[in-house]
Amino acid sequence: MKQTQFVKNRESDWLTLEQFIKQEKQTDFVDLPALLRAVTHDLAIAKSRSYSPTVVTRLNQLVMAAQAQMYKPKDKVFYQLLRFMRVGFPSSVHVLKRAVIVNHILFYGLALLAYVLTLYKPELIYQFVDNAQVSNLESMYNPQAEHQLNERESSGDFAMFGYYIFNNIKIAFQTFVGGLLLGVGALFFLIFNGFFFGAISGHIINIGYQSTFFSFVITHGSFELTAIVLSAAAGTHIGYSLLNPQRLSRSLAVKQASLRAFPVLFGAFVFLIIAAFIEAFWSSSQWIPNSVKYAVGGICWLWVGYYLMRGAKHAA
Amino acid sequence: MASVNINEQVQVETAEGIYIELQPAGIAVRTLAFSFDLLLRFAAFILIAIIGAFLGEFGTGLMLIVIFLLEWFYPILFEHYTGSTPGKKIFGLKVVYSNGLPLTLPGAMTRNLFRAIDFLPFGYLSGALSMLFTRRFQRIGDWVADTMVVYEPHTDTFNLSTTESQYQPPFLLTTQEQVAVIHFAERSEKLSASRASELADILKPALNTERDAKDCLKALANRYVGK
Repeated sequence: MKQTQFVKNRESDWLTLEQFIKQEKQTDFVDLPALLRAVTHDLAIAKSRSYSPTVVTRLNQLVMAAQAQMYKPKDKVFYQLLRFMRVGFPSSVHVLKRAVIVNHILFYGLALLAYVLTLYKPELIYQFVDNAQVSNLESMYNPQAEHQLNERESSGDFAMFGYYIFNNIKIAFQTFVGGLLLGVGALFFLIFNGFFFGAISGHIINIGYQSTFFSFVITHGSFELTAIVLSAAAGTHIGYSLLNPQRLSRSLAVKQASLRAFPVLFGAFVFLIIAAFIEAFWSSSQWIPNSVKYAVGGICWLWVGYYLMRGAKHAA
Repeated sequence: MASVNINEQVQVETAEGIYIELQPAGIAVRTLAFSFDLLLRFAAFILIAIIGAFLGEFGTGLMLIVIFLLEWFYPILFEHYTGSTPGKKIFGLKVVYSNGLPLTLPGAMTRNLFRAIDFLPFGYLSGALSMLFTRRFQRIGDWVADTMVVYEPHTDTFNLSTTESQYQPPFLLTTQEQVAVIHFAERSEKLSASRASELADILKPALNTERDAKDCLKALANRYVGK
């Protein structure tokens, strides 16, 4: 069949499809799957009969556009995010179980070590943390300080919210990306942060500021510390797959590990935003009695633990 | 899967079992698109900063949050809803999965949050290297999310000019050569008249006729397509 004849025979279908794609709104019923199959068939014929590039290009575009129309993504962003937070995040943490457990042990183990060391030998704090930072922290958590006695304005809370989001996300990305350096970088940040946190806690007890410090960190700590450990876990998971790709090629192993680690990183991202919100609006407010803060903080820790454990149930 | 082409088109097999061609976008045009997006985001940020300046501390917080959103969610949302950020749209690019299907939310999030790695050690160096060394010009985020940036197919189609005359060639052409002749006839509308004649005149000895070589080739093309 000559090209002109072929075009003449088939063009009505092409025009219908082109019109359907262009206006996007469905005016009258168009059997898209059937048309897509027909046009695909036409493209195959046009190619095998070596029809002119114009015809082939036109059909190529038509198939692509029709295909895009057919497999168009659903516009359900919020539904997908909600579903991710309900099911996707905990179960992807469950997939990375080993890395998550190892990183938790490392972080809290070192924090505990630094904590006990500082309690036992108070001057050690100056070995771990530099002087300026120590005095800065001391003035921050001094119960007699002016900023501890007066309530901050809510506009100030909002400014801190922005600042915390920024800072937290930076730390999380640092630990995650560090994990790619064969896992070494993530471990460095994790160990550094764990040690820092432990030493500071010990020092605060030594100087007797625990009421302001622990009531401040307990609530948002549940989300923030967990998120930092989780992003380290995501990073080390990828780094480890590079070290030990098992039966896959290294590049494929890294790719698959990245796809497994990505939801964990994104979940940690969401956790950090929640933590920033709590830190700015709840942890720093003075009118809430410490007993309430401890109670709510404790509930948050239990809930985070329960939430992540549920991953095992979803996976089963 | 892909054949070796002189152009950079990538062949992708669809679910219907046919290959379609996509043209992946190279590093230069993507850098331009990125710069445009950067400018746009910068402008948006300036606007917020001006408003924020009147709001005191609240404005500072707002600014920090806007920077955060612009940096991470601007590309994700645009690519999810329209398939391309405004910068990409201007340069005629869009993001698709490497099987040619339109981008969905998980893909958009993966490829954009992995910018944190592409950015390393500074100024998207690893992303640029990755783009230079992969067949589909994918940066690391693209590679993980299995996406690629392609040119939007342009829709200008050529039409053969209808000449009444037919030409009976004294030789047989292979299919490939016939396609070349048809392609020339279709494209001759786009060429300047003198350039078209110049190209056609190369074949004058082979055509072996007194007629103008350009018209002759057009007539030949008309014969092949069956007009």
